[in-house]
Amino acid sequence: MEALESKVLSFETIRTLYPDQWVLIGNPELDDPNTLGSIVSKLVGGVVLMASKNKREIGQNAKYVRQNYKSVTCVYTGEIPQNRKWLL
Amino acid sequence: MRTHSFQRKSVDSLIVVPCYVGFDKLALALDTGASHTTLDLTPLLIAGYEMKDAIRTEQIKTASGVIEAHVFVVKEFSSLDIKRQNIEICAYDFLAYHLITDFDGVLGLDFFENVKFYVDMKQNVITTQK
Repeated sequence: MEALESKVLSFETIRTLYPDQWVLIGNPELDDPNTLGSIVSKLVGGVVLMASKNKREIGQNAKYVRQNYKSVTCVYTGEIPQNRKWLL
Repeated sequence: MRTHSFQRKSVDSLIVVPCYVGFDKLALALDTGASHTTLDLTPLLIAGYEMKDAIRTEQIKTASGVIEAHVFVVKEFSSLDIKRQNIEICAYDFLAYHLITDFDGVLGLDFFENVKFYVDMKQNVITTQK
């Protein structure tokens, strides 16, 4: 798990720097607020607060790194399996 | 009355709706086949909830079988311009069931209690009216 310094990065950069990881992002900026969709599909950028291969670590440690951020989100930078049919 | 447009990349795509736990951003799949809104545990932990905050456990029946979920009282939860306070939300660890998705749970019928809403699959629009 990495705890990181505050610097706004584009999601494209975040994906490059933290591939195939769960990333906790502070003050996330989303585009196209008038169209519904997943966070990953709308994320423009934000401050990387923590990155980990283990999603549970993000949940357990978020409280230590998010104090100065009113809003956060957590995204996966790897490929989400496509062409799956869902029965929820 | 409010309208919200959505996009589905393919016929395999779900309708994914942005939601907020407090100010934290997450996304849930709209699921009118679910009686209750259910989340992955991680977003709740990120929002500051702890396992000891769960008020009970409940068994929920999913397409993958019966799952033991924790029930939390979430202080503020909103989506589609509908805000719920102190709503009971079920949560379980998605990773334990090998679920890696671009959504954090499902938005179930309990969230829409006393709300008129319909989904227009031709125009790709959700309309809500309180």
